[in-house]
Amino acid sequence: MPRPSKPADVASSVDENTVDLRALEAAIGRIVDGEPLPGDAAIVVESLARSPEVVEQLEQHLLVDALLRDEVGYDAAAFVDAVRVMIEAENSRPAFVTRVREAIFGKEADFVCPIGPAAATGRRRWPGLSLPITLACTLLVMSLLANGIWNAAAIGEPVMVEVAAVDGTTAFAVGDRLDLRTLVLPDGEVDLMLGSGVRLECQAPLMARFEHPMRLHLSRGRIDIDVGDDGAGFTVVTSAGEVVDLGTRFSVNASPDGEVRVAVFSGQVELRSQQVGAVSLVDGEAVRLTKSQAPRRLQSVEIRSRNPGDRKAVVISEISDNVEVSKLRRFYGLVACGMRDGVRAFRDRREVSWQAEPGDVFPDDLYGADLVQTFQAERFRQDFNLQFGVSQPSRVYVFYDARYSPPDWLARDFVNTGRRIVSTGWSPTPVTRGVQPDVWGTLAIPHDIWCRDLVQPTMVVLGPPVLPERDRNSTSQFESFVPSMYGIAVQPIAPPATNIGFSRPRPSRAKTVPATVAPTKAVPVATRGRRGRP
Amino acid sequence: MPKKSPDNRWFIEQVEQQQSALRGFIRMLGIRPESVDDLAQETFVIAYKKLDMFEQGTNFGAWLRTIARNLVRNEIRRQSRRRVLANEVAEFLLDRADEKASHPASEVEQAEQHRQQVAALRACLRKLPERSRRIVQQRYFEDLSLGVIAGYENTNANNISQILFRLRSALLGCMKERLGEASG
Repeated sequence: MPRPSKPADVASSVDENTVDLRALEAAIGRIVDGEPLPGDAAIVVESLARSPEVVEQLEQHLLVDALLRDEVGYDAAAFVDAVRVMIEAENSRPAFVTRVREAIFGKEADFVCPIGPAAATGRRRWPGLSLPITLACTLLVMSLLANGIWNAAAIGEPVMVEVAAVDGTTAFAVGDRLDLRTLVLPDGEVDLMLGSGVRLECQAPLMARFEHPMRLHLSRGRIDIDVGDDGAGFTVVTSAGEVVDLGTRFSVNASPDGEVRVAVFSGQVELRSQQVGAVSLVDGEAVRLTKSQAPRRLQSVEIRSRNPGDRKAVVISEISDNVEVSKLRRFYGLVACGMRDGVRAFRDRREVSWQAEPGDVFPDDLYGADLVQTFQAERFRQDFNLQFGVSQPSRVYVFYDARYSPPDWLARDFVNTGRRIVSTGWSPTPVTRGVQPDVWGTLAIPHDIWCRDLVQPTMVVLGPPVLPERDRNSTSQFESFVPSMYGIAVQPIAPPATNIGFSRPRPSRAKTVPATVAPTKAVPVATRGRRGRP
Repeated sequence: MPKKSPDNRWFIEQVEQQQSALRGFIRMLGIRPESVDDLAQETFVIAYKKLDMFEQGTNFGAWLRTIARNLVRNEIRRQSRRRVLANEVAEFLLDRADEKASHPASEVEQAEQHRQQVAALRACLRKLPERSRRIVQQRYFEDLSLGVIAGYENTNANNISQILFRLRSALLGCMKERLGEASG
């Protein structure tokens, strides 16, 4: 039996129009979201040509998108700072070109170099060689400008440094003022100050070479760089690419096998490599890369504590999570002996720190614990887990958002000590929903202190910051609110003397604690002498 | 003519005042969100370099937008998919921006309009239901991709895009209502 033909009527054309409108709105939505499908642009362009309303609609959606980005999380101050750095670099350019010219031709040169913003008039000194010299001048200035070199003193001259701090080496002494071209540090750590205000914190074993005061070739070792107010544009060159500072504090670690690790502690850097061209990294992001491999996420970075205490070796190692998102570059900051009142809490919230509850003192037993600075970005994941190794008998602390019931994994494996600290310094965001500011307008989230004792080196696995199963909305778990990400600290129980030299769990003893093991009951916290606070 | 003072104070003040509206303008020309900052910064640097050409007393914001339009035009000519969402769409938007530029509102009017839009958006955001606010936070504060948000919300990326479209439409409607009330 033949199929009945489809009646051609108004209803059908209305359906087609409805479908067209839906397809158009979907295409507009994906274009505004920055993830268009093939064909979306064609759909939208065809409609733009037919209907001015579509243009208006697209513009309005783009406008709201921009306003939302500004309103919900944009750091306008950082933008203004970045522009300030750029225009200051522009200001220094003419002076640099003049110094280059003087370095080549001398202060009284009256040679006309046609390239550069301050071409002076005058008699040519070598009329017979004008063309080759012009070309040489052009090439030299262009190559120097392309490399972003702003200091003619670098050409053929060593760089003046002052030794600001020394630890574990006799190669340098505090207060030394040296002309350095090559920096070799076989052991220990040394902090160097450059004339530009850039501070280099160097860790052995290290080999590096200054190309000039704003450009350093790092062959091996780790350098943490704080560029201060005047050092923007400082560049570290490695075998895998260049790291250009954009006004920041960052770290570069080059290993002998050619892998380079870059982490940003504040501000922003630009990573330039043959693999990906230019990639920006911001505060809280870290990558590892080689000459032949594109940048990959670096999950944890050791950060030097300002109050290192007595211990040198960290108790925590191998921090990682199970998040596999290609654009994610967030790292966990591992601060040896770093836990204290006022320490930064999260790697993606610069202004938020751990502090004592108002009216209370910071718990003594937390001082000097190894601190893991977590981040908020992935806390929505229901299947999130984070694991780390503990190299010796220790007490593990989890600082969990006290506004919510603890998740099942926390209540099962840890004990609530009944004490609290707060994360404070928050800006108003959805995570601070319901928090009332104090008399100074400060927003603080209370965190219960949970703990668990480990009697031997082991791997610890922690779950997501979610409501317990029984408290989630029965119709939709996604109606539940999301607590703040938790914080972690680990305090060794054994005396430091037994642990020197071991920063990783011994393979014969390391094992994951099985879920069925009952948590250690809370033991009376030993009273410790208060460590010196910065 | 504003001179380049040793501390560039005047210019930095302009950056502070104009940066939000300029970024919004660049976004409306069809630039990818992750490239808006770059282009906005380039706009300011070019404006600084050519500051001697700016006539004091005229509309500085409109001058910035002229520079920004030219930068976007260059990106479109270079077929820069890294920065431009869809070249054909961006060309349309750029043409429209060129048309509007021939009848610029005063600087004061434009600044006031931007302020009112921001205030209206803030008020409208407070009215969003919890799930919508959560998705706004994930997208705009946490900067998560559609796929990642879809994973959290147990749906697919296409649905998230549609949710965001409806969200923005709702916010636009709310903002228009408030701005209409404000103008009486």
